Amino acid sequence: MADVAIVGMGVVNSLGNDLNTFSESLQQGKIGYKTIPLHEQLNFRSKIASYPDESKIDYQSYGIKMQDLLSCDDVARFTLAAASQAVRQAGISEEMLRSPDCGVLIGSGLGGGNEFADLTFLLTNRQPVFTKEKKWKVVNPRPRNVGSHKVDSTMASTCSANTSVFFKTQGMGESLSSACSTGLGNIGYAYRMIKHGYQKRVICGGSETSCWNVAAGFDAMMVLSPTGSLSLSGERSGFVAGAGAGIVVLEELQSVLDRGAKPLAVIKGFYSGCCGSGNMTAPSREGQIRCVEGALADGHPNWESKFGKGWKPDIVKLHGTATPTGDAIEVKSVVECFGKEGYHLTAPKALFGHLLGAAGSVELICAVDMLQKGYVVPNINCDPLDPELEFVTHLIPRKIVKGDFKTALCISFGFGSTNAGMIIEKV
Amino acid sequence: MERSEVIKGLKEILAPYLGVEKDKLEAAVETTDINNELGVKSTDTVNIVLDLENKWDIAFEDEEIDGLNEVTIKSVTDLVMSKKS
Repeated sequence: MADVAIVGMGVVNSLGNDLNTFSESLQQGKIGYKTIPLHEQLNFRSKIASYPDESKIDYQSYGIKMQDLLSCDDVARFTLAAASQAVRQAGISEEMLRSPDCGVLIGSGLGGGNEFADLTFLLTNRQPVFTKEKKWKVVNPRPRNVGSHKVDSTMASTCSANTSVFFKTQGMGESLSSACSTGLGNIGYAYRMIKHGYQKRVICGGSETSCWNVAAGFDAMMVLSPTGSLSLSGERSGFVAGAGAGIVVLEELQSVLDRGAKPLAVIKGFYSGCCGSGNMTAPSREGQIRCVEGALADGHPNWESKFGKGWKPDIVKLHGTATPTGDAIEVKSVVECFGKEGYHLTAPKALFGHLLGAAGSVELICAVDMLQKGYVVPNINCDPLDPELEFVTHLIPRKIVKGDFKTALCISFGFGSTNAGMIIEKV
Repeated sequence: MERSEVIKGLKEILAPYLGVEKDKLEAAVETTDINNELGVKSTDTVNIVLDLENKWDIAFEDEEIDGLNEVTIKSVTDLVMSKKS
């Protein structure tokens, strides 16, 4: 079985539309979410969200033409921008891309939300349309009105489809979706495809639309915070909805070394599974522990036979959404596995909210960046700490911690009781 | 409506759908094939039809669109002119 390296990364989110800006914002503990006028106009309970500033994305600089974007809603546009960054950093040639050895595996929670909402309105309402000639015209519903691109811009595989068409890849082109563990789940499956020899390299990750209809459903459930993303705090009141993309290029480690490229990190294990609790949304201690131990053990009978007794990662990147029911049980599950000393806990959603289908991949990129540059993302706004977490307050840095960190564990959870975990090591 | 006016409007409509550099659109003549020479994807036909309908406040039947055997500047211009006459 092949070792698998992360060799390129790209991000689009509220903290930056490129890796350097994103990294600087993480290290400075910047907050990316803000008040969204549309959320106010729609009378949302939560009027804040964490959306990328798309006006600052220069698609042309990535060689993405207007024609390439016709089949894209924002979810696929974010994907193309992030994927282009990742491919550039990976340094893979056109010949490598346009090969059966190169696949695409990128998912999202919803797909093209804006275009889908638009399609519904166009088909169901007799509506006034403000034409290009600045005149109002009443349009009757008819299928043609939805236009040429309501399929490719809304379909569940829109992110991978637009990416594989843009790069002309010939390997697998698929999208897995597992709610908020989608981003990490797709990277994990890409890792398995390379590990077992089906692909040599895969462009993979997750993306999410900034359409209001995504946040609306969560707002109705009253799981969005009206105040802020207060991960691990005793005052946390829900998550902050977000959008964006996190895309990585995975490649067989030997192939990376043979072509003289530099791997950013190596994946040491991946786990995906469900809690089995019969509950759509509630976290489960047993499921979370199975996730942590499974990610480490991957390919071995148990994780201690792989890493040695008492081993623990330097950094645990938590899911840490800031929902009242989520954070404390997650930290306790991690502590049950690794004990109360010798590692750092960080919940970066405190900075950029919950990017849903993109969360797992953007946060994996965050973890690689922490290992590369030697820091731990500060847990801003976690005070006053949840009293249930006081017993491990020393594991939760409030300010940036610098050091030589070699390994990080990333965990992501999602509706449907899906759990994903990945352990990475700096090369 | 002048034919040159329709061609000018059609070229404006085609601009976002181009698969080639914009100067090829500017140089396009009536015999220019919209798909093969301007790189406009056939999947964008419906969007272009909607743009034509909106621009000139006309409506095409499905059969008229299907009947476009070759999609050239001339064939589309003829179709628009037939609706405006």
